[in-house]
Amino acid sequence: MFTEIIMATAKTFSLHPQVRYRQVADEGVLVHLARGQVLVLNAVGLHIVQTLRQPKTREALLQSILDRFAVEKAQASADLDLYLQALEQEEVLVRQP
Amino acid sequence: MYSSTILPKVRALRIPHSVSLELTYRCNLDCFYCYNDREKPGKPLSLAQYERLLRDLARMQTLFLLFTGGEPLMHPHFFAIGGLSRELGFAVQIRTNGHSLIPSVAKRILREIQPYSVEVSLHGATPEVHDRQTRVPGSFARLLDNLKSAQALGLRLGAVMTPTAWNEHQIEDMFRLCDELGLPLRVQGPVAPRDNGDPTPLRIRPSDTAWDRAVQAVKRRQPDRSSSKGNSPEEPPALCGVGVAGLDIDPYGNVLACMHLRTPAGNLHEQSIEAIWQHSPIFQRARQASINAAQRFSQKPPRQLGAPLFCIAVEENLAKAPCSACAKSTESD
Repeated sequence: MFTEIIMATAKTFSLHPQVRYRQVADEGVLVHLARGQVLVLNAVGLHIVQTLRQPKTREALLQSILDRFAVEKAQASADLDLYLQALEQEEVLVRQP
Repeated sequence: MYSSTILPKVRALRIPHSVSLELTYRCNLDCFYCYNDREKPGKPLSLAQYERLLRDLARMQTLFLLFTGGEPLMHPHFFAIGGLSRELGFAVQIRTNGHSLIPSVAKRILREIQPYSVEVSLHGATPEVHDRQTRVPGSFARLLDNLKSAQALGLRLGAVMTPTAWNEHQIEDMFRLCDELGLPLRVQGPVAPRDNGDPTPLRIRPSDTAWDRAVQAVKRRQPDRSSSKGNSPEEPPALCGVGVAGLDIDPYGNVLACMHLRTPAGNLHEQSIEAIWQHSPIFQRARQASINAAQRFSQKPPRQLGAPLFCIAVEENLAKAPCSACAKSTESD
């Protein structure tokens, strides 16, 4: 419920300007310059980060995941919210009003 | 996670994950044990060539880009190269002696390059020792001033030291100084012949106990630090990722498997980085040398010039400079 409220108020998501990343096979490695952290992204996380090179709405992100991965919409929607919350906590992405 | 999952894939796919750019051999200090061959001839890469190189490396999925030298801040296009590196999404690391890191330069670095880290060289804990090694009076005081102002501005700083006969009595003091400044201190080395084989730096080779004290000081501060290189069961153990995970480019466009292995794999005046990385046998040879070295030290820890490590490039440079000072450099130490 809480996650749904957060996501509902977000207009678009974009990558934090202090984030750098590259693809390594089907995974990604991400460096957060300000936090001094190196994070490993799985295929879905990498896809989200790559998609957010341009700001995107949650709905656009969800559609891109459905286009890319064989997953039911309800499951993808729930997983996406968890991903976005985790990535926001790590300051990998920012919400824009 | 990064060491155990990403790095094995980097090596398996031969992605040049970390690339060092020796931008120039010019320097505003004159360190006694500097490994650079400042007389090395060559035609420096132009800014246009650096632009092409950076775009190629971004396409090849290079993530970490190290600017080093010489003193990289002395390169005339340092900020243009750094700014483009930021635009292309590299995690930039800068290795500098800190002498030019005055507040206006630090501000510009932060604004235009946004580096992941800036690492400065520390040679001692007092002006007498530090300046003796840099051979520039006042360099210690200036370094401390620059570090404090750069840190206040928000640059992510670290320091690196090389144990020598001149500073080994201050190893603990250097760690304490960095603790006070809030900087991580890395230990590198060993002092070795210059890249052209000149054995002069060996005159200030430290005692073997100096290295033991340095290692203990690191362990006290980072007790959980793993020395694992993330080797997966599918790949042969190697001492480092040379040949499969990164490369070095000198100021004249020579592409090297590592900055101390001086046989070029190719030159950017003649070929693209992608062509050199894909086709030169130099990288495979370096990789094999690293695997062979790991086999040599599978039963006992490595030791080289007193340091608890083994570098195939140091061994190569020692071979270029046979002398009594370095005859007992490896394994028998």
